[in-house]
Amino acid sequence: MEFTDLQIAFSAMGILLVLIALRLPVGFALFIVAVGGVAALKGWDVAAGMIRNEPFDFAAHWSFSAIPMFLLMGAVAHNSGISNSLFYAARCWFGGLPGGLAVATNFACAGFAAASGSSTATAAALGKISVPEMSKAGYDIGLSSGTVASAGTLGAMIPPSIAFVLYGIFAEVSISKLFIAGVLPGLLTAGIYALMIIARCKVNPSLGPPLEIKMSFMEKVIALKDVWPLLVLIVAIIGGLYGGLVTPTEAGAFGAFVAVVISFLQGRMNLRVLKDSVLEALAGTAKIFWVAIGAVMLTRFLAMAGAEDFLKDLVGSWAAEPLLLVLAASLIYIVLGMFLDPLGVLLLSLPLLLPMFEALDLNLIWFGVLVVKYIEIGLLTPPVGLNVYVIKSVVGPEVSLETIFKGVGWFLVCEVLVVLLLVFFPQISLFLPSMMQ
Amino acid sequence: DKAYVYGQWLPPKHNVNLWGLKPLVKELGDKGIKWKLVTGGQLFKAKGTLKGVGNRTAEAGLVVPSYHRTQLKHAFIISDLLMIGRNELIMNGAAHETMMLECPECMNDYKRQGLIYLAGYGVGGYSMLCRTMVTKYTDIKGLKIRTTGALGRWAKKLQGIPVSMSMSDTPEAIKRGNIDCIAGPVAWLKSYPIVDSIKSVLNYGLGSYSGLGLFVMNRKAWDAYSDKQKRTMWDAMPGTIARTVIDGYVGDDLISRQMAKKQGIKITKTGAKMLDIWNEHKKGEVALAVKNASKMKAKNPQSIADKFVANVKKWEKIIADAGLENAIANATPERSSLAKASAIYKGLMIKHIYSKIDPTKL
Amino acid sequence: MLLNPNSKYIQGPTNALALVGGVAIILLMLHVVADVMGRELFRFPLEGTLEIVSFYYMVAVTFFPLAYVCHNEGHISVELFTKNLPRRGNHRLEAILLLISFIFTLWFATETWSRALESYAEGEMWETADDMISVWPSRFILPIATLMMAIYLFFRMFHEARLSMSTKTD
Ligand code: NA
Ligand code: NA
Repeated sequence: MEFTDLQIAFSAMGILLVLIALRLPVGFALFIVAVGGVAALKGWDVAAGMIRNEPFDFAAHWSFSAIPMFLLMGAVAHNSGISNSLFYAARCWFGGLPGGLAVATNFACAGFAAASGSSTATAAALGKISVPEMSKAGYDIGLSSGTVASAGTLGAMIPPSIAFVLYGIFAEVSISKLFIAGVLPGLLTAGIYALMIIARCKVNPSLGPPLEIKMSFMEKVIALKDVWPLLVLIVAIIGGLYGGLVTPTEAGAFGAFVAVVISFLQGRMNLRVLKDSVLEALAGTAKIFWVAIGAVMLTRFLAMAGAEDFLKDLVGSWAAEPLLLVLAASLIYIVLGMFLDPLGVLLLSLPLLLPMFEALDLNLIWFGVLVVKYIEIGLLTPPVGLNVYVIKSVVGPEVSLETIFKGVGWFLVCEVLVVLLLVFFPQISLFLPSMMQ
Repeated sequence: DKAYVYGQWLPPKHNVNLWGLKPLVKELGDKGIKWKLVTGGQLFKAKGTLKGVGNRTAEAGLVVPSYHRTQLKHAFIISDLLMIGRNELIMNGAAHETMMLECPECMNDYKRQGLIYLAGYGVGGYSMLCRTMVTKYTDIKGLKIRTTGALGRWAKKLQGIPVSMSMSDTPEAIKRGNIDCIAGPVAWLKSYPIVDSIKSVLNYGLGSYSGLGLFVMNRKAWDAYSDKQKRTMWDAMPGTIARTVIDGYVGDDLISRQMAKKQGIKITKTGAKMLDIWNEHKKGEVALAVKNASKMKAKNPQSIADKFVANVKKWEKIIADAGLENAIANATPERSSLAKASAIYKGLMIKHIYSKIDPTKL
Repeated sequence: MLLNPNSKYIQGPTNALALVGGVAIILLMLHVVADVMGRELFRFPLEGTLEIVSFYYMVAVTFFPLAYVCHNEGHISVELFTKNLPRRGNHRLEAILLLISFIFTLWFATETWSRALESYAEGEMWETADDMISVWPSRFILPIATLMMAIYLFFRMFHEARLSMSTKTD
């Protein structure tokens, strides 16, 4: 019996889900299904050729160096105690509010996003700093880990952003405008997240118990003086970027270095701290990249199976009506985002969707904001949600993947609201760019 | 039966796709030869092209020799000599003549990978795109310039500081000042999001990276064609090359200049002094390319380089005699005005190269 | 005991490879910072930083810790659907998953090994800002790292299989 390429692709995706549910590590599952699928489509030598070349080409990549570096920075900041001080101060100021620390973490991510170009890197940098501290304060682990995983996605919405750069190159639209366009949607997302956290903790205070803070205003101000190490770290990174010292990719290594120097100056750096931090960063990188490389292989397989044509047929007549096209695009992004990494999602979708959006004369800056929003959502959705995996790899074995995915669920509800707002009020994305020139 | 797949990594709207490959796919389709263009790196990235087409992940692709210099050690000599010629029209003609007619080693580089080189193209006429005001070559001294390979040596010659940087970091870096200039064609103002950050362009129109594989095909897939199909494919190549080089790159150059004008970017043409430096620099480049190739155990690198140098001279004359430069100088950014130039160039490719080869005996 | 995945004969090389990865991550940081400082303070970027980071440190950081990750914590996986399996069934399932992973990893190692040999024979090089750099040595990181992971998975597989047999009851 002959199978069509599409039948092979659908069977492969079914097998993938089964393998993941049987707890085969996600990376292995992606690899095996992708390679097996390619072998079925094109023969074993093509499959072997993919193994021979793709993993090396993926890893040997400058832009990705920000990920191990921000993981290292986060681990150093945590293990040397740099991050304790911030959370001590955050406790003084926000601890009395329900879910105050989670709200503080949410906005810390938004601030850090202004320095980092990638969502995984943002989650990596703040995950290790904030989740253990929230646990100490008695926060629900689903809430704390979900907050960082989700707020980490602001990394790509708030400029600078690798995702916008890639989109800009594909769509041939101004990246400066895309960057500006991402600001309000990013802040909007952070704001809605914050409201949701506060509301949930009001209803159920055990999620993020308000702490009893008996401090005078002056005492609170004095507590700020210990915050300097982390402030120096963040200011150094943001200043380094906007002052033209480092590129967004170099900011990772620079941040890690500054964290090492600060902890050294504070006398908190020793061989133990260094070893633990390096091993954490190392294991985190290897785990995340093993999955990401698998996702790239799956992208190749889907492309070979003719995903583009399939999606084109799927969108079909919907492509004539703006709202229907947006809806179809949304569905495509949500499904692709479940399984693929951001780059894979962009590669498979843009060659198909860009011409359709252009044909309807829809604004490509606005579409860019939507696309980035969707690939951010893909970082949070099971089974392959890279931001969730990042948090999983920084919090360690005590917390299960399901707990984090569950914690992210509430944030995904917020994302639905954000997407609706972005779709029906394009001004949110286009107001700031329209002020340029 | 199934369409063959042409896979490459350039974005769907890149001018190579728009002007070169999409019309080619249509033309061949009309003549009963089915091809499907898969863009944007879905199947493989630039680096993966040689292996990807070799193992038939796709039946054809676009090859950048720099990414495969060890496999294409003879053919790469031509690309490595990017600083010896003035523009892509000349260099691309000379590259085709050298590779296809005079350098069996170059063609064998591709054969060894299970490939066949059917058409190439060249890009270039390089400039310095800078965030500061650079109007003469002395302004370059001490500036940090994003370069690769031979362009880096040229930047050094001008006393600039070559910096390696990924193209994805480059737009931010030029905006914030991590680098001062980008060594590249003026057309990059259009293809990369840098136009807001650039203040001046020092346009010296020197150098052209040629020998790019515009249509490199899997050998078995090619062998499966009938003689008639092979001829149809072959006959479609010169037009594809002309459209890619003229309508695509020259056209983008014109549009970029228009963009520059609108943005108030100052474009300065270089003077005689810079040409002197260039003439001196060229000599060292030939020796270096030969040395690089010898390091990789290439056979007869000197003779390949010599042939290419001679062909560049020859094509300088061919292009001048054809009146191409006039046809381009009179063109406006509307692409139709390039139609004449494109037709002339296609004719030159046929006359000097494609008519001299029997595609059934490749 | 020979088939124990925790024996020092397996732990030693696993940790040694992680150590190399650790050195690479520190070098990555220092090298990039030195390049930034050189470029911004002295207008003297370190030639080849981007290429060395990409082709050496990143490859080492990505692949060398793979076996270490298997032993500590394990690769990322979803445990929701299997957590209520009886203990014996759990060991059996684990042994089968390890067998699958082992076979794949071994294949991965052999393919990347022959790719590395090919790259070595060609003397594979890449372009820097104005020169060239050899990259073939780092191709060998993949087969070395994944062979170590394959060995680890192999012994773990026997370990789990034996546990499944010795676990009489649930
Ligand atoms: Na950002
Ligand atoms: Na997902």
